[in-house]
Formats: sequence, structure tokens, C-alpha cells
Amino acid sequence: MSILTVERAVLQKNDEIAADNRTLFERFGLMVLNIVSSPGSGKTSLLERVLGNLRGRIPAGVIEGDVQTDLDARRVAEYGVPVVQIVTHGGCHLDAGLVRDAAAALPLHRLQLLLIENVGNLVCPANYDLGESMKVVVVSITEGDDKPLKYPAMFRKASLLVVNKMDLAPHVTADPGILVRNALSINPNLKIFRTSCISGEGIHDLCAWIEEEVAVW
Amino acid sequence: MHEVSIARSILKIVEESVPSEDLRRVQRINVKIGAGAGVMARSVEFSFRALAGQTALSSASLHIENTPFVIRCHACGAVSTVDPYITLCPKCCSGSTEIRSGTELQVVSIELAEKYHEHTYR
Repeated sequence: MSILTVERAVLQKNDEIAADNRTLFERFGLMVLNIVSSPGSGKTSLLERVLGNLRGRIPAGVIEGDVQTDLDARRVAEYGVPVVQIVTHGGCHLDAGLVRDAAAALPLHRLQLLLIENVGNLVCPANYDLGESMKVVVVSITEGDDKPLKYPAMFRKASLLVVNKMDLAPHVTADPGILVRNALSINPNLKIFRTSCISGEGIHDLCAWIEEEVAVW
Repeated sequence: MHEVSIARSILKIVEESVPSEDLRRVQRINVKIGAGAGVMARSVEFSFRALAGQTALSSASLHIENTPFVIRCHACGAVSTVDPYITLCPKCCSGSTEIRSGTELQVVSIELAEKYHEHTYR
């Protein structure tokens, strides 16, 4: 019997393409946010709010990932931004190759900000580097304040936490303070915003932060 | 269920590492999966069996070594095994820790049987 030593990361192929994506994005001076959450946390609504706020100030593009339909791309296109819809046909996450192909269809040279809305899933997308500048994890308060403890990998790998649907906080038992404390126990470096796409709470602060980051990117 | 694509990536790595005429000799594929890798070992095994079934690797077995999630504390120096991503030091409660291991997702090695001798079949 002979033993062949391999020692290769299983996701090496994905990571290599992600590194290429990152190089490409850096060449265009593009800040890229990989937005992850469970389904229904309000990612698309948040995107709409952010795109509406930044309109005319920061040229942005969007890559939408969904298991089925181009509903999100159509919603986002209303804001006058270039958008590409990836339909995964059952795939539970975006990978670097899908993003590379989608990015090729975007006018990257005209953009400063690329927002990637991942497939709604707090598990699998944590494993796949897309070449983003940072991951943004969105949790709506209605999902419960224990989510960071139940899905820690995603919170560990994210740089930004958006606690969404804050307008509903008075109507549920989940406590935003406890959610934030749980998230910080997993990742003390998380930058945190509390938002509501209905009342508009926190949207201005989030956009101001994005604008500052894009300016120095 | 990204375990299917994980299993597919493992098969691909084996196919790239072993010359195609030797794939039938592959007996065992050693894989390391950390407790914090976000991958369920049993599902990877199941997916691997399903995918390898119709290929030259149909008789190869997947051996998965599960590695614990280990952190080291910057404050007190303790090295502790913890639940994945619960990175507070269990000795001194400091949040200043580093992950030492437990995030691995790696094909470590491939074991091949000796070449078949044609005369054994005659």
C-alpha cells in the first residue's frame, strides 16, 4: 500500500477564485459587501433603503442570489442600479465562481460599491469566500435574540451586524440588547447597526458608515 | 445542504491528485473536518457514497477525522477545547483569544492499494 500526502483544503478551488475576484475588485477600487442572513430577515428591503439613500452619491451595483425567481433583481432595478440575478436552482449558497461570472456582466469600472445579496441561509454561506471586502450579517429581531449563539460561524466571520425590523421589537419577547450581547460574545469586533426599513430608524447611520468606508477604500 | 458540494470537491481533489489509471487503487481518503468547519461529517460521507458510486472511486472509503475547536487565551495563556466559536476563555473569561484549530476542512492523504497483478485473475 502507498500513501499519497495531499493536504489540500477542500474548498481550495473556491478560495482561489475568491482571491481572483478580490484582486479584480481591488483593481477597480470597489468595496464589496457580502450580505448574509436567514430568509426573510429583510435583506432586500434593506438594500432598497440603502440604494435609495446613496442614490446620486455612490455608484453601486448589485448581485442578487436566490434559489428561484428574479423577484429581487426586479425590485432592486427600480433604484436605477445595474443588477445581475443569480438563480441557484436549489443551491443553498453563492460561491466564488458564480460571483465571478455575475461580476463579468456588471460595469465594474463605473462602480464604487458592490452589494451581493447571498441566498437566505445562516449556515452554508459562511463557508464560501466570494472575494468580498467584508460580510454583513442581518438578523431581524423577530428571529429571536439567541441566533448568534445558534449560528456562531456566520457571526464570527462577519464584520458588520445589522439588527433589522427594530419597529417590531416592542411586539416580541426577543431583546435587541441580548441579541447584541450574544453577537459580541462570538465576535467582539462586530460593528453594529439597528435598523427598521419601515420607520427608517438607523438607515441614515448605516449609509453614512458605508459612505465613509467607500471614501477611504 | 452544502455537504454535497463539499463531497464533490473531495472527489475532484482525489481525481486531480491520482493519475486516472490508478483511481481504482484508491482504498481510503483521509479527510480532516474541524468541529467549527460548519460541515456535518455524516452528510459528507453519505454524499460521498452517492457521488462516488458510479465512478472509479466506488470502492474507496472516506475516513473522517474530527478535530476539536481549540482556542488559546492571550491573557492567561490557557489552551482550551470549547464549543465552536464560543471563544471566551473558560479559565479567565477573557475575550482576547485566538482560534488554534477546529476550522479545518482538508483532504489530508490518499491511500492506494498495490497495483493489481493480471496473473491473479488468470
